Amino acid sequence: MTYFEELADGLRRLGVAEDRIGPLVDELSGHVAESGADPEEEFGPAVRFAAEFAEGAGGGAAADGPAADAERWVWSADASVDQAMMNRFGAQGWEIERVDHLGRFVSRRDLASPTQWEYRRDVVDRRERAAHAEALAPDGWEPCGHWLFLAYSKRPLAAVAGPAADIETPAGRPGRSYYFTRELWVPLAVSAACLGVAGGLLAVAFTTGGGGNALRGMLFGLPVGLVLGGVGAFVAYRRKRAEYARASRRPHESRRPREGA
Amino acid sequence: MAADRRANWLKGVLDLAVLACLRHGESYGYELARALDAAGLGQIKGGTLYPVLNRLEEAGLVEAEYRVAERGPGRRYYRLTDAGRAALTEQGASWLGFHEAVRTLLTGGGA
Repeated sequence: MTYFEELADGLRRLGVAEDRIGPLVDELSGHVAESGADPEEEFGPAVRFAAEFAEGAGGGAAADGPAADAERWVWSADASVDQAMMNRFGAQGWEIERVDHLGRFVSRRDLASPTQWEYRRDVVDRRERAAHAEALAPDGWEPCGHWLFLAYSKRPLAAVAGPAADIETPAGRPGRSYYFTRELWVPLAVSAACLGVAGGLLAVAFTTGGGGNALRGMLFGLPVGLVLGGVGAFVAYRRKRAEYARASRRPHESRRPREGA
Repeated sequence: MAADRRANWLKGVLDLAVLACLRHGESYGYELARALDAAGLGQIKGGTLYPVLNRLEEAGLVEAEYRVAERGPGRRYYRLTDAGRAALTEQGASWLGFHEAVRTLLTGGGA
């Protein structure tokens, strides 16, 4: 993506009218063509320029639109990589505000003075969330969302690193918004395949006149399958929960003993 | 330190300087940057100049017209509005008053 494409994209996200973006990009292109300057050197980082320009151009004025001084991003990752991704994007200035009902991370990045964020994830029972947040607060952590038994916390890196946490030139917006691994895909694919096979066998049974036997078989097979599947899911849930409890990790830190609940 | 101080002064007066450059006729961004440089204000980066132009336009102090160029990208030409001319007169006088007070103080003529 060129500088001007990134700029146009940033202006669009900030609500600047389309009929203002084209002439502005033309105007700035003409400026660098005449001066021979590098666009980034002349105008600064595209996201920052877009924010400053939008502030005066009525961008973000729409009631539902993002504030002109921040950009928004909603993304998701499965639990096997979410900590790593949160800290990667936190280092790029993305602050997670909450986890929505679909388990996605609703994030914002300050455009005028972006700073780095760090995140931690702990296994916490619902009833213990408040106590957990209270225990972490003295170290500057605050809750930024929950998903099942996972509690996410954030803190500005400036709390431990001071001004070194400021970001001079923020990275562009990540190209993808979903980071799912085989940890998620494989169980989903196996479940889908099982349903597909069962459905296929039933269809064959009905088309060949064995529907009655198939239904009788289902009366036995369905409960047994549900029980076996339920037990398997519960065991997997417990194992994952224990694994995630051991794996709670923060940036600049190797694996550490689990804290909290 | 000296550069920071100068940058702060410029921040406070750049909009007036831009209005002053447009007093005798229309101009476009790069030409304005060169005019400001020639006037002794130093090289104003586009990242500083265009947001100022945009704010002046939004405030109704300048108006802009986009013209397609025969070759290369089009240009937006800015010109003063009546409100811009009035603001230049009024704010210019205010700045000169401030400048005079500081000058008097620095040259030992103050109380």
